[in-house]
Amino acid sequence: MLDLFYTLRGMGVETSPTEWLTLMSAMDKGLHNHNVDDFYYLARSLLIKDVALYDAYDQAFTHVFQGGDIPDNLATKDDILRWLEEGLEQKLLTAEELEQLKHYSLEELLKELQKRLEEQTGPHHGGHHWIGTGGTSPFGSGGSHPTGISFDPEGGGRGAVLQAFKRKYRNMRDDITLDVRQMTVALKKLRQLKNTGAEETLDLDATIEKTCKNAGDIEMVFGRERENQVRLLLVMDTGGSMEPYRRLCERLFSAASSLNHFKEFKAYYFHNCIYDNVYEDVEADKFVTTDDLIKNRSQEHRLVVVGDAAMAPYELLIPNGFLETRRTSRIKGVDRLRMLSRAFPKRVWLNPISERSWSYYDTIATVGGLFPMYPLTVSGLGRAIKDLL
Amino acid sequence: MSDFNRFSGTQGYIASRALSDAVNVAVALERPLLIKGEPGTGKTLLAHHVARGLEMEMIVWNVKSTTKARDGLYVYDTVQRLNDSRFGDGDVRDIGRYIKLGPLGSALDVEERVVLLIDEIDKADVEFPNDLLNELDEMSFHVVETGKTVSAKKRPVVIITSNSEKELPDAFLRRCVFHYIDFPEPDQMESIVKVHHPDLPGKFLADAMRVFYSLREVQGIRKRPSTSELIDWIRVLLAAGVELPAGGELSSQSVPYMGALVKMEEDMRTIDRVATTGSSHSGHSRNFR
Repeated sequence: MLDLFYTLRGMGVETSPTEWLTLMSAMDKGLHNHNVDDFYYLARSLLIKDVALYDAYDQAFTHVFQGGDIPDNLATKDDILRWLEEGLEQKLLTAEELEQLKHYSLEELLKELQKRLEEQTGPHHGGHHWIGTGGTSPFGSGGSHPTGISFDPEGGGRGAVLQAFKRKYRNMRDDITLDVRQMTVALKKLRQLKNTGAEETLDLDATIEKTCKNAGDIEMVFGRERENQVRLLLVMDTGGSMEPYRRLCERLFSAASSLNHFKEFKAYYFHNCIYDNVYEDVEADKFVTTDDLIKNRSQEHRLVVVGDAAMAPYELLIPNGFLETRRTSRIKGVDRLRMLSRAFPKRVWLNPISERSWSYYDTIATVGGLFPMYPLTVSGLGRAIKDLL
Repeated sequence: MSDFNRFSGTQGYIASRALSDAVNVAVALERPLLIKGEPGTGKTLLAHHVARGLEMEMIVWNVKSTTKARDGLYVYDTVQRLNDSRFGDGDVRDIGRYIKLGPLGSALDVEERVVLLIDEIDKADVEFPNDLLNELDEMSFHVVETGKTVSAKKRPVVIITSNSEKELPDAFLRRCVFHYIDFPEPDQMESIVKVHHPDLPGKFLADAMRVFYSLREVQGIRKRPSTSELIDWIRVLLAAGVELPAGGELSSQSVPYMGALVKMEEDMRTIDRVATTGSSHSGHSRNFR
């Protein structure tokens, strides 16, 4: 019985002891009717609270009660994670070594990973070939291979999420990524209330006070509705080096847009660096010019830029970077950013890259000089919101 | 336990074994039952039929974006009291007269066990579920104005529905019995349809089901037709007395009254595009989202 609990937890399903105890008391009451089918549903309804985990439950259940195997992929993923958990301190590579390692392409890496998964049988830390931590092998976590593949789980209770990282690793311990809920809670704090509209809500306290002063003659006092004045501009980097963080950005977007709480909410996209235009829809080539963005600003606007700010220096210093080939511009990316920073006194830059790694990128320092930069984590978002108020 | 296994669907509601197990567990453990599932799989309807199946009264609390947890407990009608004090209607010294119980409040303040449906909990503020934790745990609350405590003599059967993917807080989830209503398999769907349209000819039903499930599997469709839409569509077809196409591609031309099944203009175009380009529907069916 207890096996089920630990198998579930082993698979990354965060079932709590309280829920387990509830199951026990349900069984005391005979709710499982002494047959396996009912027990299966009973345990599922009490232990699993997300349909995405039903599959994991099925596998755990088969494994524990019918002696079935945990499927290879899950078992392997689990093993890898365990090897990684017993990890090592990070070893930093010299610049030359980094250069050397950059030559692997993603496809090559994936192919190689497949091969090593088949060959490797145990944990391996600090080396340069097998999957492990702190090493310079392209596979594993907390390592320093510049283009390698990381197994750092993304957090959020979904257990092991295999993530292919092109450019940067994240550390398991101090990088708590956000789920939509946490973001919504954080964003809710971003408000500035102001009385607006017609006087139509009853101000109870004032009414009572007036009435008392009138010696019981009722006098109703009406006030105005308080409304959030904040207009949020969310400008997000997409594609390229931001690809690994896409889900994180999507969550931020859905948190901000689901929050029916801002006076105005607009989201735009850019690639690499903000140049002449920001895009409403990249595929449809729908855009507004950055100048318009600046022209239409008001005091209530808050500018939130999400991006890794890890660019090649030329993307910042040469007009248009050369990536946006369709349009030409005379204004350098860095000057665009400077214009924006002057135009929006209330602005932040949220960076999905872990704060500790910022110093590896020269461009982050440049951008950070223009925008107050915060990591896209629970605490980072909280600090950023404070800055915006 | 004697009162266990009391719910197993009603004449108007086909419940899978997993679902009726979940209902019965929630009833027996006196814990809230959280129901999720695709829109149109009968989440709200379930509560009505649980109430009918268990022969209990039912209280509905429709949650809106402005709903506060406190509204569910009670409202102190100060304005009425003020008015009464001025014009001398009734005894204003008795504050209790001006305490109006909300849906949750009245579900607790009854002699007989009732079913309380908290519908679409995800619509409210993010903090809403957290604010309810204590009241749902203790099944009692304190009325500050009168100093009285309302507590349940019989803990109500609480059924909570949630539509969206928006996550509910962990602490809240830990206290719930959870069930995800799967989209019905074709044979289960047939029996559901038969509940609503008992005299349907077999061939007609089979054709309707084929069209329905093929539409659901068209790739790139954003709002897939659901059970309630199928039932409405069949009703329209019967009323209009039209025949269904025997086979071939699905498009807004070939399927009569497709507007009853497909509600989004965009999806309609997707289906027509798939029909004309001939790229057929995806092979596998999806159980979970």
